[in-house]
Amino acid sequence: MEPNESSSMDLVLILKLLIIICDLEMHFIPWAKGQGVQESISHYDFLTLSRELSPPGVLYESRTEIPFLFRNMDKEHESYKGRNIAVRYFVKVVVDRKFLPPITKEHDVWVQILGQEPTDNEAIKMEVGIEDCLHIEFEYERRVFHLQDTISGKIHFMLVRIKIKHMELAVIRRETSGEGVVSSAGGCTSTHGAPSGSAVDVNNICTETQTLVKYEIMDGAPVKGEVIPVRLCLKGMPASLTPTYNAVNNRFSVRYFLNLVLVDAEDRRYFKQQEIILWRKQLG
Amino acid sequence: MKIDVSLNTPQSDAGIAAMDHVPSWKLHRNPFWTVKHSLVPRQHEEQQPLPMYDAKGIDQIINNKATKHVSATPGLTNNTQGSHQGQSMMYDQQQLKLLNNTGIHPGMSAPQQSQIAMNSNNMMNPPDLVSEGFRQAIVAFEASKDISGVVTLRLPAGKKAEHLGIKVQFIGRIDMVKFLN
Repeated sequence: MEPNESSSMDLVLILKLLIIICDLEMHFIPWAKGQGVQESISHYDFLTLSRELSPPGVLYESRTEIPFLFRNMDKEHESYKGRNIAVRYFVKVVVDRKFLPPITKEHDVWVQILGQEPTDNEAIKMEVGIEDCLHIEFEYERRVFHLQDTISGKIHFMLVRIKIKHMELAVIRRETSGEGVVSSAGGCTSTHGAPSGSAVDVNNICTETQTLVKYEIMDGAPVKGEVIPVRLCLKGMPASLTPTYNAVNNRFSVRYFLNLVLVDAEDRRYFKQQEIILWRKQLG
Repeated sequence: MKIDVSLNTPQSDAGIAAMDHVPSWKLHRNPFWTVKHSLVPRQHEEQQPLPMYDAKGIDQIINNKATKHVSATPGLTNNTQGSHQGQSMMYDQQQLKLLNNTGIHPGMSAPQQSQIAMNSNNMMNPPDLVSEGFRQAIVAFEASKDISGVVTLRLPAGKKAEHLGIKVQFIGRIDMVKFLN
């Protein structure tokens, strides 16, 4: 065989190997599968418990059933599936083999945590407005609600000097994720203008905002002294509501807001956001 | 070797509740999503016997349809009526043949029923109606609940498998998308 020929054979071999490696990467590395290059998924296990089901041996039966039990586990977080972050609990079975990679099987477990009824649940009362143009006072009966609750309140128009077209009430969910989310969770007001969208700030903390529902609660121009009642059932929300999460594992927060928007004749929008706290009263 | 994990989910337990869907970030834009993901009627359907696959039942359906066709054409003479009836019978039988082949039948959950029926013929994995009903349903556990269940290892008949130990883990994990700027 000519030396030239053999080197070309080698090249072909190397190329083939490269193709195989690329193929493997496509299958096993999550970020290679699409989604854009700038994202990667990192895992953090906050709970790992292991039980030995069987010592090394040989299985002969066509069907082997082994019961297992995990007791008194400290499940401190709820299962959650968000836009940029997820909390997962799962049971993983691992069968180790000689010379071969272990066989594994995962089974997800959805965990929920029941909350405590808040002892003090004061009303939200706030006067907002633009000087000499618009003064409204809104009042929501409570600040803390359970997931099947009904929000009730009213909006007083104290002073109206602009021509208002209509008024909307929206429920907004905001997911903040990133390492050390605590520091930024408090003053999270950067994306008020955009009702839905995402933003990544300098500290690599990502904020996702989502409008869950938006209702027009008043049509036409109100006069001074008008009172508009508000009644909003959380149960009918077309989304899976979660309790308010505050800096879970110092990694993410999920908060809910009521957004009151007034739209004037020139389509200018005046809004005020008010956080509401949600808690879980029952499973499901 | 195939591994299956099933969790013990007694319905009577207060700390365990069935959910109609996996909670997620997404909004349900479809106003009928509760109907689509509804759990209760599915269970009812599965608890029913399978009357639709009874040969007598099919005959009855044919007869009913045939008489309907006849009554729909009152202006025709006896002869033409007869031939019409024959035609409609043919049509219905053809349709039924098709239905039998595909396993589709009036009644939404028929394919699933047939699948269960097939499974019951297969002795390898006898059906468990409760777990069948819960297969698509998701169960929420209260945080203080113990998690128990059964690991099932399946081997092809006559094969053996050597292993270096079997273990089961319970893992709580936070998955996070990182943005690399």
